[in-house]
Amino acid sequence: MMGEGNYDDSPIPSSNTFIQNLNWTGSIPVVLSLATTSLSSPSSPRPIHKMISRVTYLHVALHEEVMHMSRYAPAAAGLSTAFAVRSVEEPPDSPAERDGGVEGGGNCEVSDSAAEQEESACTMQSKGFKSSHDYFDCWFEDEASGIPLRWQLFVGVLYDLMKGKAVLNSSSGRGGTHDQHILPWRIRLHFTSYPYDRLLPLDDGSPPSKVENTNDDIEGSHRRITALVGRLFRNSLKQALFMQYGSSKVAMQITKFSHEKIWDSVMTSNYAAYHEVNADLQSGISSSPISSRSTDQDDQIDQLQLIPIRLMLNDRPAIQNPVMHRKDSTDIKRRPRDLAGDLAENVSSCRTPPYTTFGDFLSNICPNHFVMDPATGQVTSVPGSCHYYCIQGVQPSMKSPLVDLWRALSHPDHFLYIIVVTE
Amino acid sequence: MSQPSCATKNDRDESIASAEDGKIYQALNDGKDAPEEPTQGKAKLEKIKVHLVSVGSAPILKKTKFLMNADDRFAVAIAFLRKMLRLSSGSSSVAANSLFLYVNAAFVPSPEERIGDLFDCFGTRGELVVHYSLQEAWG
Repeated sequence: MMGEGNYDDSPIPSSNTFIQNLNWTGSIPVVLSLATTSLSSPSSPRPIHKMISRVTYLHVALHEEVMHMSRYAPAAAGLSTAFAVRSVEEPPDSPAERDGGVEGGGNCEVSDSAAEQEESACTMQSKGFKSSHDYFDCWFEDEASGIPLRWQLFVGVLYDLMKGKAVLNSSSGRGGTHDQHILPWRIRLHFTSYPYDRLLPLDDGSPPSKVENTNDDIEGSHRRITALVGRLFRNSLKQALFMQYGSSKVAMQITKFSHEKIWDSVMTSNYAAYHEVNADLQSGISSSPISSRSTDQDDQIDQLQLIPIRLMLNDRPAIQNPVMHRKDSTDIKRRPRDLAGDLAENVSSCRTPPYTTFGDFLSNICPNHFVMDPATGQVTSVPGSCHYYCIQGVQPSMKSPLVDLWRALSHPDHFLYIIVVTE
Repeated sequence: MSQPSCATKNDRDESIASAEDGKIYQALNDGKDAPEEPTQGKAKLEKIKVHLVSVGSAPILKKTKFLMNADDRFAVAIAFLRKMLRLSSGSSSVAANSLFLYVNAAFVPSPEERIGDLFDCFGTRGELVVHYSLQEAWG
């Protein structure tokens, strides 16, 4: 068993609440511009700079900006029938937008008058036209790589993926922070040609009557999309809770009111409100990290069935493998197949701790890039492999227990998103 | 700027999905992994037993247990069930009949989740239980 002295990482604050609070305040400077293909007015809107939170979603965070830019977009984007009344709004005479701010400082938001509401109301008469829902569905694209940004992922996760690619592509090689070249993050907004082959559609089959006040205008579209993203978040949370507790009991006990409160807190990046509701769901959140314990204290942590982890590998959808907290656990209901075998081998070598570490996870899931030295239990990169990894923008030590990382760095849906970008 | 290798798999699947397949990632249709596959290799032909259970007024199927590829995405299961129940998929949510699929009567997985992953995390007694209904049952 490794002694405490081997954990020579600088001591982390014992309060996970403190760290989570930091997570929620993390933001990324973004420059949003309208794609030329979605422009249908004589003048193009100037790009907008904004700081958006890491723990929110693009459609939620950039709502106002999308509203503003939709006035420059084709009025009947996505429709191709003769029924649609085409009208193109005039750009405002004296634009109220302010363009400014440089990276790291810019916090300029556009504040328009309420006149835009009545402008969008007279755009089309599409009663009975079935696909009017898709009317104002917008999507975002990373300017640097041209990759459509998946709306179902957190902003922080998306940014880390883009940053990983940029880091690998830059000539100075991997590692280190190259934020000054990557920030502000340039995003392009589209209203046309939704890439159905690369993004999930912005509807999930819910009947439109489920969302209140869904009108055929940009505001109604936003409400619908927000509701959709909210549903996805809620289901993600329920999945994570199921994995944590091994049954759907806790997940199903959450009241509708609590769900709404949690979603509201995510939309407004309000950690205090989130923590109020989440404390009930999260047993063991205030326990001290495993690495600083002297003995194997039997506490609520051991009730953790599986650690909810999603691995984001390049552009692939999330990989969700069952990961146990303790390697020698025999009381799990769902045994992960190969994972249990490999981990058991590591336990037998007395150099490795009895709980799953970050290095264990990486070396199991990406054996081409991370390898564990059986003699020392040390996990290192495979020589010659080119990759970038991070969690919430930081690169924790390979020796960190996964459960500590999860409690400190998980996203609001209780999942720990680990980003790995490879060449 | 060069594209990462995994992004090229979008190019491989050129075919347009038929209307019955619903709207899913084109690239996810083929369950093959990119050539430079860093993740731990699982048997590509691994099959998962999926047990479909109807809820409420949803039509009951004669055959309820199916084998699906572990590498398929959940969207494949959704499209498959739509076909079995003869629900139109349509081009928008208004035209399509709504269909909700729940895992373990608790949550709706994202269409892009891998069935194999879902089984590993949530499977019981060797099968993945999926409830389906025409209305939202469990929020």
